[in-house]
Amino acid sequence: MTTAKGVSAPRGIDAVYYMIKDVARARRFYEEGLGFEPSFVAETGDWLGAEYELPTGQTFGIGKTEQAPWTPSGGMMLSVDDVRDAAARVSENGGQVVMGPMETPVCFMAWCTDTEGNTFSLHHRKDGSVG
Amino acid sequence: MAMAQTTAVITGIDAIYYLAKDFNRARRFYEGAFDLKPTFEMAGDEGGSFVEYDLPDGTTFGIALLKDSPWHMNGSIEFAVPDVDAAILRATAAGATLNEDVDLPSCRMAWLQDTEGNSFCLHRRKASAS
Repeated sequence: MTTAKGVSAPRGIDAVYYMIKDVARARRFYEEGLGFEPSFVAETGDWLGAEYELPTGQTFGIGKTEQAPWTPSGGMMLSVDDVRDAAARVSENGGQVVMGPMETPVCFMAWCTDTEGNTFSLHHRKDGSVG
Repeated sequence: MAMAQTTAVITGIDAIYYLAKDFNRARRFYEGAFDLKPTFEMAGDEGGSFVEYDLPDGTTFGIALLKDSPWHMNGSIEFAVPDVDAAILRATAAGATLNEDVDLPSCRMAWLQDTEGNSFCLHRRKASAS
């Protein structure tokens, strides 16, 4: 079945995440230094960090996990209408789907790498919001 | 004068840039997989090759092949700020390192490195304060 052109075109960028080495140090920098106010903080679990909702509705997140070493990062979460359809097109065009598609209580997402080795996510919020 | 620490200087994300190893291959991927249409192109310039795609939400996604910088995992955010100079002062006072300050006809952008080693930009569009 041919994938309909345009269906998986990104509508915007919902979120961008940076990996960090030291949670307290990074939070001081972004909160006290740049004025971000946390909208979510993860102090326990596999992923430690914080998220900051911006006035535009976009989310900036910082975090660390023992499951992956720190790397310069910045994985964007592209908002798409249909994550499965978009994931299929990623594969058809030379990218790789490395995790998912998966469903969480608030969204659908699939983590991918492009042809250059960059990481990004296909993302669809269940409430339909973008950005 | 002390700057108000409660003032949020970041108003949004204007753009995010990924680096490419093969510029044309990267373009084919993003334009083929997502139907992205270039809104800005600068190929073969002294500094490298660049292409940008404006998304419906107003955010820009860009791909760059830099002549003076080898590919590395990247994803540098261009944070929208109303006052680049004030934002630079706050960021460097908090531990960031200023790497480059560029004033273009379309925007002002200051590239910095945060305390964790991540690259980010303080950005102000001249046509719009977003």
